[in-house]
Amino acid sequence: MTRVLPDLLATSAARHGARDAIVMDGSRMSYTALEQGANRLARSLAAHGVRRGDRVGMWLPKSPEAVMAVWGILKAGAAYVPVDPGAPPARLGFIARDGAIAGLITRADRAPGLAEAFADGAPMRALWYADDPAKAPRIAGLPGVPWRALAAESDAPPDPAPTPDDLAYVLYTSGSTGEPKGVMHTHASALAFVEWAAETFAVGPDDRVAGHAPFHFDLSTFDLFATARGGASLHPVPARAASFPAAIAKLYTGERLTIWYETPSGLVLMLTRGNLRQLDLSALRVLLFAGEVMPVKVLRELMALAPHARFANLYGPTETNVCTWHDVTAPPSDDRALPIGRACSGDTLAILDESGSPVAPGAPGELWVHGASVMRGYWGRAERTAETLRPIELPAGGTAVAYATGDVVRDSGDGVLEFLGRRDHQIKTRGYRVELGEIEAVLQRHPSVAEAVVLAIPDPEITHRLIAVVVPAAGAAIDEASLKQHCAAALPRYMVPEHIGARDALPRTSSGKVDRRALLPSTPSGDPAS
Amino acid sequence: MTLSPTESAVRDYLLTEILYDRNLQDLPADENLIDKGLLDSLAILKVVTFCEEQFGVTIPDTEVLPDNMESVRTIAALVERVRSGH
Repeated sequence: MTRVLPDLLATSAARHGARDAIVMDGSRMSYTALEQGANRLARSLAAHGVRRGDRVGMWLPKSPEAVMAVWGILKAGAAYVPVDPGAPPARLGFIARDGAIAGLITRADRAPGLAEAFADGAPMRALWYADDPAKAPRIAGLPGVPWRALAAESDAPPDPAPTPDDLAYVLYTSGSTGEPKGVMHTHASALAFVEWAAETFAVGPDDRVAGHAPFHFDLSTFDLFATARGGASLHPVPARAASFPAAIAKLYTGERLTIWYETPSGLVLMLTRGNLRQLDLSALRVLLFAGEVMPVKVLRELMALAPHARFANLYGPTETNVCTWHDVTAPPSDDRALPIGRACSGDTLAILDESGSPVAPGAPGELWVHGASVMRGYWGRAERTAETLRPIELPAGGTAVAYATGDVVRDSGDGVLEFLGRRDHQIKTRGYRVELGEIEAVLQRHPSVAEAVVLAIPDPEITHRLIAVVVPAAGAAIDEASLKQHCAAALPRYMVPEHIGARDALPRTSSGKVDRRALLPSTPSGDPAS
Repeated sequence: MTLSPTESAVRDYLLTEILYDRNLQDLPADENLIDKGLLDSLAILKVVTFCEEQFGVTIPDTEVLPDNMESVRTIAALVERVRSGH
């Protein structure tokens, strides 16, 4: 059946419109209200020139209005481009220009940041203010639409509806060359994952689903869309609570949420800092985790705390959605790494060596993914797209375009894959994917820096901490505080190194590459692993 | 406005180790750091660790909540409360 994402919401609104679609901070929004509000927003977007195929940015904290914004943008036939609400204005400006957004949904109380981001002009035609200001600030001379103005629009679905191959969202991820790149997903590639996940975990009207992942992080597509497909209620974690493991654990258990989809870092913090052991987990039915390697000991403890719940490890870069999964049917008996499992979302996998030939059974190789859930490409980066989406020979015969994940895996038998590591300098911190090269490129733009290396130090709670080592430019002195300030003005907070130390020169390997390993023990600024 | 010694220490730590993109003069003790998005989960862990080491207290995880961590004032008040055992 041909479907698009807004069908999920429309169907649930028709079937049980009075049920809660969103529950947050004690307020509730029904499926009927969400459907009608999204229709009104879609019409308002169209009235200000947003057309099918356009991109519309979002820069606002999690809220019922932000959820409505996602649906309204999709219903207008446009793709939503969620920008980290904590990102500095410079990054908002970059993404807005790079993605050539036609509109921006934000808040009036962010006017100073908006003015800074768009000081040199703005690509969009209008801004929508979800906090409904009495007087809409004027940014870059553009019209500002307060939320109450949406009431004037009809609540009937707008025409024309999007088609499955239209872009649904563009998620900007860290790019190794110093600029983030936009991963493009269509309604069809999103639904390939969403339909699989909603079916597999039987998301239904009695479910209460946690919404912790920010919308610019791809875990959120399960929260938003699998929840709507099942007619369940979404419980977004308020921005105010999102950094507090104890507050999150209290919210999840207090609201008796039935489905949690978390990063392993988030779960570890709930255990170590969130008092989770003392809370009532009896409502928890499904616990899903993705984004990083799940420590087996942590999994075992979680399974002991909620023995009735179903646990599953989901895997997939933003570019593929979730493409493999491992159903954890019993607590792991040894400390071997948890498998990433078998193909899902209708995808086909291949493990290839560096020449593009299949590896011997059980041998390590790079994971390539072909199938319905794979992205369409990187927005505006044809060359980068062509490098990562390439034709390969499929294991079952025939050629098809597949995505090169950069992840090294091996088949441990019967198609169950184990994750072994990365081919490059991409790392995870708190579930976020970070290209160390992007941070290095930002550091190297500073006039006092000749060379920069960013290192990821393994950490039991947040996967990795970041530190940097820089070589000063001739005659320059390194000021750690001003370098951090420089990074914070360009990068999201989770990408700013905790420590920046200086050295006269970087150690090299015999091939002339920076010897990252040699830098680790002698890194200045104390003991980053403590 | 004058700051207590605890408030000053907390403020100095925040300015040098967490809010490196801000200037000394614009951190009022009542400024809400969470609603402004200035404290992420790692920053909160660091502030808690700093307070525990600096003031010789143990802050229970169940007290590390938005209302207690939102400003220099509330963080210092939490330290004082834990220190006095109430």
